[in-house]
Parts: sequence; structure tokens; C-alpha cells
Amino acid sequence: MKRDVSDKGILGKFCTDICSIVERHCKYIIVSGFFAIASGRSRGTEDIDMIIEKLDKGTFVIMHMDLKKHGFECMQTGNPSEAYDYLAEGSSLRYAKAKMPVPDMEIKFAKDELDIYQIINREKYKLTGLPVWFGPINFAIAFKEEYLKSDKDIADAKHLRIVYEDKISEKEINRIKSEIRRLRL
Amino acid sequence: MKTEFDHVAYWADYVKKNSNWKKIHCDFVDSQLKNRRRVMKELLARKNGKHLVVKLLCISNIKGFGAFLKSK
Repeated sequence: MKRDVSDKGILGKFCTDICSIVERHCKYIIVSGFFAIASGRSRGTEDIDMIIEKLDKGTFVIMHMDLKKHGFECMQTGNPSEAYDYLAEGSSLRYAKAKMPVPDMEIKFAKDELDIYQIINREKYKLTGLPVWFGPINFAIAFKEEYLKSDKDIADAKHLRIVYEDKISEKEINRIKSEIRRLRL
Repeated sequence: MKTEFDHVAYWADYVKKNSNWKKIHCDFVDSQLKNRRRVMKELLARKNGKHLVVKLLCISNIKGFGAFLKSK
């Protein structure tokens, strides 16, 4: 069935459009708040978080130009080489439609084995109705409960635990939590 | 009194059991974005509004968003 803007919403359409371009150049995952929102969590956001595998400068510049060709601009800089340097030093880049920079996509390079684990184990979730890759559900819950921990993140995790009840593995969540403590805390 | 977490659980359960959740949900999420966009447009129509929008959205690439920043 062909879906249009009305059944994806503004955020879903924006996410699908940008992911379809990024996918031509590298592996990516959508993480954090938008995963919960796309799964029905009733809260707002103006940005979507994306992790991409590390790229060399040449590949990144081609992706940047492809995004630009399709109407997306980097909010920090129009210079692709400078944009790459931001990413390479561990900062994130924000891309948005040039004609309306709300919402935006915040893109980061995978920085450690936790990020790489998520990219390797990425999944598409039927519930979201979106043809995009998300990080694994057990990781999303573990990360929100063990690392982010704000009220908003705990509520996101609670929502995800209910709507994906049949995919939840407490053993896996606990294993990931211990990896988070080892690598990030 | 119900807590915020009770509401989260109630809505999550609704999402799980009702296939019509998406429309209600998209309308809610979109309304916040539309409101934010409206505010940006209103600011751009003001004197010195461009400066405020650039600051609020943290835009350094002014040239790339030139058409948006000139729109009223």
C-alpha cells in the first residue's frame, strides 16, 4: 500500500525522505526519542537522531551533495569538507529542508562498539509504519533506563516496553546495561 | 490521582490494541511542529526577526537557508 504524508505525519515524512537518501551512501539507524514517537509515544520533538557508520571524507562529501540536491542543507555549514571535520571530531551535524528548517535530523558517526552493535542489529518495525532502520528495541530501552534516565526517557522506555512486549528480552536488556556501564559511565 | 506514567501506560496500551492510533497520534505530533513553524514565520515577519530565528534555530549556514530567512 502506498503511504502519503497524511499517514506518516510531518516527522515521519521528513525522516523517510532523508533516510532514503542517506541509505544510498551508508548504513544508518534512527535512535532515541523519535523511535518512541514513531512507535506511538505521545510527545513532541523537533529533531530526530541518526547514527551513521564512519565514512571517509570523499564518501561523506558525495552524501552531503546528494542531500543538498534533494533540498536538505546542513545547519552548521554549507561547506561539506568542514561538515565532515565536525563529524570526525565527534560533533553532530543537523540537516533540515532549506525552505523550512523545522524539524531537523541530527547526524553523528558511530563512536564506539555500542553504536556499531546497534547498526549491525538494526531493525525495521512494522508498528511505526515507516520504511526506515531503527536501533534494536532492547538497546533503546536499556539506553534510556541506564544512560539517559530523564523523566522523558523513562517514560519513553515504559511506552516501548508495552508496545513491543513480545520483543522484549530482560536478559538482553541487562546485558546491554552492563555494557553501557563498562563503556559509557 | 493518576500520574504521568499512568497516562503513558494507558496510551501505550491503546496503541497496542487499536489500529486507529496513528491518525490521532500524527495529528497531535504535527500540531506541535506546525505551531513551531508558525512562530518562526511570525518572527521572520518582524523587524530584526531574522536575527531571532537564526539564534533560536542555531543556524550558522545563513546562505543555505537564505530563501527561508527571506520569506515572510
